[in-house]
Amino acid sequence: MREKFARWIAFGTGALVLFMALFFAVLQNGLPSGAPSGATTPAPEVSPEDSQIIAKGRAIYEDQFCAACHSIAGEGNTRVPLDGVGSRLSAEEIHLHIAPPDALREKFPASVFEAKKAFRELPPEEMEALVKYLESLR
Amino acid sequence: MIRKAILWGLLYVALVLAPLLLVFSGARPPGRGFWSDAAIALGYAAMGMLGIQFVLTARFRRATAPFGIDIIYYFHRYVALVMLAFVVVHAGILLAENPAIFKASSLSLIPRHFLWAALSFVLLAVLIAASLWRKEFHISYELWRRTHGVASVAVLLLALAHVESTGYYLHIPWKSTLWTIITVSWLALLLWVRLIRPWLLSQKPYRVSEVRVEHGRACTLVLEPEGHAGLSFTAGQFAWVTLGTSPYSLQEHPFSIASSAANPARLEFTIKDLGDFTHTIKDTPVGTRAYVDGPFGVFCAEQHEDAGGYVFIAGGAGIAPVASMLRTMAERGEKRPLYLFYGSRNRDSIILREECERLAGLLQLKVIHILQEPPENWKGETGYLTQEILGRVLPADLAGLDFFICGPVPMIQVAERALANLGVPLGRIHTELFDLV
Repeated sequence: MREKFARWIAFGTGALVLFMALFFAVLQNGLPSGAPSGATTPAPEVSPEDSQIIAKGRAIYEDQFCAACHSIAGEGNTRVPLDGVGSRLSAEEIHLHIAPPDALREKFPASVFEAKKAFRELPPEEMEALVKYLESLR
Repeated sequence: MIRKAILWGLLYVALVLAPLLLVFSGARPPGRGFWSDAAIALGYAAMGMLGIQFVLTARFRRATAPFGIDIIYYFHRYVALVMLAFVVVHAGILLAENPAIFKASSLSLIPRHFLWAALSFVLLAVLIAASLWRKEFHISYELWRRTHGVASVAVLLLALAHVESTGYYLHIPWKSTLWTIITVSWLALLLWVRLIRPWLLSQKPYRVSEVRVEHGRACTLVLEPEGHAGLSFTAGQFAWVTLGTSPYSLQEHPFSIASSAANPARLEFTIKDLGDFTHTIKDTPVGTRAYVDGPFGVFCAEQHEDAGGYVFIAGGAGIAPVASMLRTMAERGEKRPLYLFYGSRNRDSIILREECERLAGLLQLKVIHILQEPPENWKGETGYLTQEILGRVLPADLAGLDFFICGPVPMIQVAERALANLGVPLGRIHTELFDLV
């Protein structure tokens, strides 16, 4: 009987912890079927040349399987969404996030940093296109 | 007691969630998706629960006193299952979101944090299985105790390695402070259990003054204090006894104190031979050093002074705490009606048989032996304890009686159910379980 009492307390606290974990997730993200995080501002005017570069950037995003770790508008790995990244980070910062130098190792989980080393090999025009594409996400 | 339980339960939840709540006290990291964040929160919660498991079993008397230490141990076991479930959900969600791990063609491509997690999880599962099914796996209590301590520390360290290598939530404010507090607390805990408490025990040594062979393959160990007043306890409590080794070895076993509480300077432990350690007790030389950590437990008649009478239901070695209560009552001139339902294999195996007769002469005590193998001409009860026996022997009006049950698990289950059927309120039924693991 005392055992049953202890069981109730244990499962009760477990349920409370579970609830708090879900509550935390809601606070960080809204409800699962709700709107994506990140503020949106109207996109600025885009010139024809820019829209070509952005299209190229989108293709590179797909070629490099960025969706393995990132999502845009709910597509891909929702763990690290990139919606609105253009409003949050400057072009320079986006570049540093795609291919961080060794000095920024601390800012990423070890496995992520290792994986991103591959993007240092991206030709400069491709990197620029990719950054332009991500910049356009506002 | 319910209110106390809720308060301590809330404290527990607060401690478990503290690291997570701190995430909110500064610039929040961006949301990573509802399910990912829920999974990560559960991971952190499991981590918190793992740390507190060590606190629960450190035997802090003040923390265990509101409940009785047996509830703390039950809680420790059930909460371990909750923690395991959280880890499974945590891993399940994260693996479902990132199945690339399964496509890794070699071990070196698997992220380090995943390997730490896998190791920690496997060890945790083995640890829990060994505790739940120690007897089925034929693991001796001593081996179990030693490996459980080492394995749980390993699980914790591997889990910490996992958390560190994921690098999530790197920018929690006061992270280093929190880290320092947690590490220092945990080290202090280790220090208490491994060094300070054993040292305190070593300052109050006992010596074996007598080893008495009893009926029913039991023996009574008598300890007397050396240079101190002994142990003040309430009849029905138990203590951890270290026999013939240093208290730093942590080779201790819990035994109920069977002697009268009126005499703290003489402790008797009546122990049944169940193999491993208990088998060696009868060969302990007189004069052997011993140490006693206690008292613990709330299986005490004295805690229910408002009863109109007491009913004791004992089986086998369960007679020990009951004997303590009856002996203490005899010395204090207890006048209220007492019943003892005592189950044994046969007449010759009734542990403390003569003592029961002696006490029946000193108290208003009715002793009802229940024998599985009665001798010829036995006019008493036979077989096992049943509701029918209880109903027949006890007075029709059970109001005001407090019931104390201590014995093998099946007997306890029968007794509890029988008393419930007889209308005895839960608050008046008290049980002591010997076989926690």
